[in-house]
Amino acid sequence: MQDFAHEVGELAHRIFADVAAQDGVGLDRGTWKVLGESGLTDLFQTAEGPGEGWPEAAALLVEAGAAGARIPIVEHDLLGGWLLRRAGLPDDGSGPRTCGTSSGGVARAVPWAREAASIVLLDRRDDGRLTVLETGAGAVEITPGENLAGEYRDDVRLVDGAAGAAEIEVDAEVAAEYAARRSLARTLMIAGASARVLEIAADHAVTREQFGRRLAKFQAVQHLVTTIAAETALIRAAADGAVGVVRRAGTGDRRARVAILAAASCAAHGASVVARNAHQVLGAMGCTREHPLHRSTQRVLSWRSENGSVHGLDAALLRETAGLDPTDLWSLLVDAAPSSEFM
Amino acid sequence: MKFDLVPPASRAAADLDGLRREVRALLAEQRSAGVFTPTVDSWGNGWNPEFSRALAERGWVGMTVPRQYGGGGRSFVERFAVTEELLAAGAPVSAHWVADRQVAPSLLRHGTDEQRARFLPPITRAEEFWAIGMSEPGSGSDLASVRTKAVPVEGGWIVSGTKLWTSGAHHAHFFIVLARTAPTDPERRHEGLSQFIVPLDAPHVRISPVLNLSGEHHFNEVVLDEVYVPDGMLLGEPGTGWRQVTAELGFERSGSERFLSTYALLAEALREAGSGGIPSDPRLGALVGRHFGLHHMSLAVSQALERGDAADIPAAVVKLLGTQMEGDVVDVVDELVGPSERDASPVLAEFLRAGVLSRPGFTIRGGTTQVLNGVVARGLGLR
Repeated sequence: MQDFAHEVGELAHRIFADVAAQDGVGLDRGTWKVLGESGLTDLFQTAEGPGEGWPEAAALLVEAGAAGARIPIVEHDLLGGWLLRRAGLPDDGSGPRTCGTSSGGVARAVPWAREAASIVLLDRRDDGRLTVLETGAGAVEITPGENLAGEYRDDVRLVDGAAGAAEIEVDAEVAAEYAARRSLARTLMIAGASARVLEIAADHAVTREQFGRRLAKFQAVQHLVTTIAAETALIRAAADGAVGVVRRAGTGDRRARVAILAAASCAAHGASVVARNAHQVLGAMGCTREHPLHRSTQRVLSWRSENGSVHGLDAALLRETAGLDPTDLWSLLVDAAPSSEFM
Repeated sequence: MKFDLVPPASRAAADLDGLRREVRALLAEQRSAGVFTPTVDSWGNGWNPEFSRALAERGWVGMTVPRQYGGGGRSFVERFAVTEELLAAGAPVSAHWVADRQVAPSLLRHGTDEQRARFLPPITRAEEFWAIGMSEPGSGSDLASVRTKAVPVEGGWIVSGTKLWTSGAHHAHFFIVLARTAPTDPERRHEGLSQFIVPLDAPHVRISPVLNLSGEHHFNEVVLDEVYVPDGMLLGEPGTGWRQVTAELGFERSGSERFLSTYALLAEALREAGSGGIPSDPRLGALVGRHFGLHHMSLAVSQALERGDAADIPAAVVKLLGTQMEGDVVDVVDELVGPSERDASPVLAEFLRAGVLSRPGFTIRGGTTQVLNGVVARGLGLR
């Protein structure tokens, strides 16, 4: 299992290094095609157990985050394919597909929607029911938008409801599980992007000279970089920890929900430090469009906000843990078994 | 990634839930028998030989020591789970802590057969306790500057000098003394140091208390006034002391005591936040998240130690983040409870007071935050 995840990571690393276009806007179809040919776009398609597929997906998402690949790697299968399978809708394997949550057929900030082959929506209908549907570009009205990093985040409105699309009602718990899956995926991508920021900052510190010395010789600069390194390591450890919990318990379990919130909170707080310190190290050079730093720092900041506000994540963690007996809190944080066996 | 400062956790990790449940059962039993009440910083201030012996009876002291020396022959990862449970419960583990954490691994790595056979079994039975004599009046963070000297004589060494901030020396049976056995070479300051095993009741060893800021007695000054130490009490080869000290850092800095010193305080604050005793501040939730991350990071380092990998750099990352978080727990709760402590329960007020008083030490003991930043900078190739 671990070996396969490691192989996925290595393969993804090579593909992103060889293919992913550094500049440009819009969905990177070249990278998407190569990933698909390598079997990396549908890692959950054959997953059977509730936590299956996550170690491999984690390895892929960290690399995708580091590369800043402009592809719907989270939306196509981890969210969209999963929703279709949960609803019992057919998955014809085509793509790239995107995915979002909507309310009465209106979805905000759907990644790459204007270029996706289809859109899967988890729709909260006006009567409160939760439904899943897949629709093509023709049945929606799209208002273009983008996040801080220039990644397309388009508003989508179903035209005439879901005309022509099969709409399947699903349990209310699907919404919470969807949010958990999306959050863990983004956290893993933040882990990768933070690692990239660390590389850039450390490389700059050892090559750039000021006052006749390399920047790395100044303890004040070292401290900026070591703080990035420590926060990056914490994000990764928390994200990997959450993947470990999910692998055993699935994304619907309470212990997994807390683990994912915890990792997202670590990433959210870490993102501020990583972005600020790196820009401080890079000085004016890092503030330019030309320098690659902003591609990673703006992704880190955008993605952490796509997980919800930092305040909201922390408040959710507090709601999950306030009032617990200290021993039960501890068990919730460290025990490996699904919570149903313990709580 | 270019910098994987902390190794990834093994996904094939052993299932530790069963062991954790066993430890929780003992903790509940010992608490209800009145052997201990939970405290903040219980590994720093909880000297309780009775509790240590109860752990030893279960095989939870010297767990990683091979069975031939009376140990449990278990893995570092299992030891990690047990120590985490003990610290999360605020259990008094100071008495055996230093011996269990670093003296036993050090004896196994550098000690002679005779030393192992003599010293390891009483450690695993929690009958003999240990202290560490590194710091001196003129040597805090800069350990290579120690001035304690050992001069070779017939059959042994004469050791002279003053050790300071030696925790538990007034209770412990032995301590390990870092001393200079060759003059300082300014070009190679880390050469010429050696470690000795010295009984704390040896002639010419004088121990006097150094009260900490709260007025408690944990630290000591230990004066060695021409103490004779036989050759058999030298640890490893002469001149290899620095390597021995740095080899221990992976054990000393990566464990759960570097992020759980204030867990009891956070847990109590969360309980009170649930009942409205203190405000529901989301910063408490953020601290829960950070505990989760540090637990997994520290676990990953224990797996690296199990594999025999060098772990001084990831250990520095754990300690850097963990001890600052411990301070944050104290700060956040202090800011929520306020100076009157009127609305807080007596337990929370007591934990908070202990936390505020012990906080300055968190980011100093075992390597200051500034020293650790230097270690991480080296790991990144910055220096």
